[in-house]
Amino acid sequence: MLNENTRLITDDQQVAAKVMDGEAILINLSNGLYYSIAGTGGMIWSLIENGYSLEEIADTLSRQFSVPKQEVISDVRQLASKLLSESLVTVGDSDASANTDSSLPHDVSTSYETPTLKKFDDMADMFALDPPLPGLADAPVIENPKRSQE
Amino acid sequence: MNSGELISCIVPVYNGERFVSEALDSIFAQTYRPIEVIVVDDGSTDGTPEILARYGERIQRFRQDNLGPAAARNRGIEMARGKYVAFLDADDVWHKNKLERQMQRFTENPELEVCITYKENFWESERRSEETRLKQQDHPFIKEHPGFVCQTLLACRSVFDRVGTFNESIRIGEDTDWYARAGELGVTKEVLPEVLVYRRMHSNNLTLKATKEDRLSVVVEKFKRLRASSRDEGEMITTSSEKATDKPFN
Repeated sequence: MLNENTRLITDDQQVAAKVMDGEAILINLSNGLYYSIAGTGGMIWSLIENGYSLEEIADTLSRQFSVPKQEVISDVRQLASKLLSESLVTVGDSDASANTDSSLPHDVSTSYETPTLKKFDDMADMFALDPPLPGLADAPVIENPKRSQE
Repeated sequence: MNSGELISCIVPVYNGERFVSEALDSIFAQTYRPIEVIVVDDGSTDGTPEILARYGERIQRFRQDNLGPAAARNRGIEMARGKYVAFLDADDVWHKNKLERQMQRFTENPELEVCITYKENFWESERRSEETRLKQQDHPFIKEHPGFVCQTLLACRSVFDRVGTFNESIRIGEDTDWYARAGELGVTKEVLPEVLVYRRMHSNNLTLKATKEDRLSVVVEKFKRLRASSRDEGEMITTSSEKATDKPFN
């Protein structure tokens, strides 16, 4: 179960993500579903990617936006549970340590906003069987094949 | 009646000497007429120009600097004189009945603007180990499936005035972006559940070079459109506790 020491792991094979104007955009490459995390989502996603525990995320947001940590931790836990239920992350090793050296994206929002996760399925049919697909392109590729007969 | 309407068949090609003849021959083998064939050579540096020259006046050739498939397709659309437009990539093959079967759908449904078909992938020898592995895995990529790619598309030429042409800023996935934009505008679309396109897997497929960033670029374009239009789309994900709060009397 989730607790404040939980660290989430992003699956780089399965999920592609980008932070755009403070919002995180995620796509599950295996099923073509894509997501947005609005509010303070972009920053939270970056912290998850850098191995922060849920408590460390709440600490960081609390300091950044001067809001009570208890308010933030509840939002972070709810978001974590939604990300898990959508298979966008897995639970990692709580004893690992966060990568606090890497610079985090400057969040464009000036105030804290509860992160909201939205799912979009309108392009799932189009993405479903179009590369990149996890597990598809790991066969060896010969770069200079013999020309076929013409 | 749609029968007898000209279809412009647009083939973008970049260094396609290995398979372009097969692609073009599958167009000329179509049971549907009349057609015109427009080949846009996107700056090939191999033997493609010589192969295209052999087709003489049977094809309209245009050569441009290498600008990518979206720009090549768009150039073809500019040149098209047909009421309908279809696309084939230089490494893929149409079933001989492809255009005829799709035109039947347009005849039967005058409201139709876009018709796509199922497609099936096939593997050249250099990727045979991949084919074997995917078969063993019973992977859906090995089976016939709806082809949301340009090669299956037959569209009224006029739909490009409404939806716009292909987004040239997208390196790979411009077809997905176009289908998404068409869907947002409510374009009338039909998926014909017949395999009429065969997509070749070989050592140099452009789409197999697609990266996660390419896929993200299509989604980013979608979010830009959403923001510009202030449309509210998507399904808010809620947890069970939030649902309980939303509906206190349930």
